[in-house]
Amino acid sequence: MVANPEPQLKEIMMFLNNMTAITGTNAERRVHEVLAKGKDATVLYDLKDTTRALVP
Amino acid sequence: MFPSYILDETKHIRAGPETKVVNLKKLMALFRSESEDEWRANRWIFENESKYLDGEPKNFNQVGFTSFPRSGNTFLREYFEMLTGIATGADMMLSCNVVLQMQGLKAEDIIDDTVWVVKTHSPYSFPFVKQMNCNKMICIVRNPVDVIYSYIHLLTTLTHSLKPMFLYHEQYPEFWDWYVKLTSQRMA
Repeated sequence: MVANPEPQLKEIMMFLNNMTAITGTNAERRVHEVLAKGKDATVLYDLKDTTRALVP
Repeated sequence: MFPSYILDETKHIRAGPETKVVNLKKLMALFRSESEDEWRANRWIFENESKYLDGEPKNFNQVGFTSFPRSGNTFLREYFEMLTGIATGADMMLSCNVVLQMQGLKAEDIIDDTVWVVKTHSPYSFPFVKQMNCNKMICIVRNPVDVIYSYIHLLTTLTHSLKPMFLYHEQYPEFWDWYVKLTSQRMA
């Protein structure tokens, strides 16, 4: 989830929206928009060094 | 911090009379659609802060989100909010998590129909948690070795991001042994 979030984010969107696939949909568009924000977009508070080291 | 939102009498952050809110059925239809025009017309949902739902009953798609504390719960909540545009709720008392509320998770201690995904640490129980019903659950799991160490930092510093200057197992080996056994039992 930390190192490679894309597959998990797609799974989450499918699960939330009761979809079996998201290719070509706005759900997929949103996943790509979120990924484009970069790894720091989800950091609400400072991560410890040991956790930050996991982020590529 | 949240323009147009209001604090209710119990200090929960709520949508004000002028605050834009989202209908869950329409949001799901938007995600399922391939229309780029429709996407552009609804860009506002994903701009600036996360939004509340309009309060229409959502007993067809209530989502719970559970984890043992320190398993990446807040990290994933941020993803939920960015992906959906909707504030995530939580079942713990606001007094336990005012800091999270102030850091941007505005729907702390709210589990009603104005939020979609609701965080819980169930079955690990905290005092006075609210009971809720869910149609489906998401569970996040982290390596327990990392969780045990991270959780003691939270308990001793009362912060999500600090840790003491010493190592527990070196400075307080008896305490550390007791704590690891206790926490492992609670995780089981």
